[in-house]
Amino acid sequence: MLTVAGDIVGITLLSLLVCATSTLIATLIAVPVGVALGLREVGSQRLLRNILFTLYGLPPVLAGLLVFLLLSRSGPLGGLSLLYTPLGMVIAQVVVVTPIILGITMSVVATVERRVKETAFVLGADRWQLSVTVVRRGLAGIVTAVMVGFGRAISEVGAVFIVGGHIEGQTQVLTTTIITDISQADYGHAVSLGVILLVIAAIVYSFLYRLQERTMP
Amino acid sequence: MHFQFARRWLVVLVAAAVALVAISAYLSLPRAYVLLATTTSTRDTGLLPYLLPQFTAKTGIDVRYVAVGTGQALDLGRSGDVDVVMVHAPLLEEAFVAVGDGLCRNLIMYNRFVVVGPVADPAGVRSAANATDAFLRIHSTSARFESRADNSGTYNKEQEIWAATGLNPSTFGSWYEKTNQGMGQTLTIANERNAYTLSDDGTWYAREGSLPYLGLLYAQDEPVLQNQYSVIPVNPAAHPEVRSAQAVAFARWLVGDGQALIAAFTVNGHAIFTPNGAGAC
Repeated sequence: MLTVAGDIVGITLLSLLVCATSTLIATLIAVPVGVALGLREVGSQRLLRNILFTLYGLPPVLAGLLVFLLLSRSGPLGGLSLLYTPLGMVIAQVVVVTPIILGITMSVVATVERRVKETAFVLGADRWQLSVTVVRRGLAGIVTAVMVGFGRAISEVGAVFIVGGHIEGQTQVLTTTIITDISQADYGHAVSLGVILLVIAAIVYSFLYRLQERTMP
Repeated sequence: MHFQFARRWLVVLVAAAVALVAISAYLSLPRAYVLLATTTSTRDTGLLPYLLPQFTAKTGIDVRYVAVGTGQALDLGRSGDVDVVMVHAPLLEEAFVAVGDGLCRNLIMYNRFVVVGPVADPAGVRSAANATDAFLRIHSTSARFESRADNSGTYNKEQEIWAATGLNPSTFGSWYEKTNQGMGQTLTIANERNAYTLSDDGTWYAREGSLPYLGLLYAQDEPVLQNQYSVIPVNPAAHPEVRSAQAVAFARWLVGDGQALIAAFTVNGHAIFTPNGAGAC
């Protein structure tokens, strides 16, 4: 019943490539910034935090629209020719995923910091040693942040559709192909892609879960 | 005191839940309108928003529609999810009626397919002798071409023209790109990627203002480029729940009073659809 076509392998690999790349870049941006912001519990940071938490809920279609306008031939970065390319899709997903990882990291670090601060200072730790302790204790939470970020990336459809353009053999990913399969009444193909999506999620999450268990204090 | 406070909140929450369920239930009531499945072109050109209120004013029958690909439109009819379909893929339509999913088929009108592409026209499509020649020029220069590849009426026509050239699209190189999407999105992609594509003239005229890098390169009234639309009520013998009488009334109106309205319809000053109503309903 399930249609197994040669295109499925390519679509799956591109999905993995785009999501892994964007989650990795988002992690590299969001974790250091999130840790720095989480460690600093000052009133003046409240506005910045509010902005970040708004971005946390940034609808992916809106992120897609912004990146589309930016990368379009008539847009400010049109000269780079990144629209309808995998790299363009990565940029869109970084915009979606970064605030998520950032927001969770920040909350985790702030919570841990509040818990260990007194003890650390009583024990004679300086500011730097405190930071190291907080990050070490908060590692499980930071891994969770990355997990949630990847989950958003792999299940996301709006932004990659708009910025990727879903061009066959070039920018098709699992989620966008399911959408166009349905518009062409090719439900068997859509279901096989859905199963693959589910399997990827299961594998990645079980791996990250194990990692999280190991980092538990 | 504390208990009373909690009880007040509980009352508020239960009342809110009841209200929301009531709203959802109201929105789920059996529909009192005819549901039409059609292709995106009839919506994107503005034809349906123009025609439907006039039909409703005349007959009191409310028509609502979903605009999807031809494949899905016929599939919605096949499953009895809609009462009537309005599409443009004659071969698929004949099969739809032949197997008993469609009650009858009325021809409504036709518009034309056009070849659009980069304003600089590197393949020389402007001086093509006919549609087949235009496609041959694109092929021989390996100029980028966006194919909808979505089993739509437009895609079927594109394949028909390639067949007439004697070439097989499955052997084409990377210049032949497949979008798997509707006309509007495919035009946007062609505009961004400096590519040629086959479009219906209605969508082109509706969209050309936002496509600065594309030009109308080949637009002739050749029989092969005519795009015939039909309306087919879903067969009540296969799906007793469809609103058949109203669907048939709609199909008859389109080939009757609707014809003059269709002829008068323009997109940005261009008349698009040529009425040729005829049929069996």
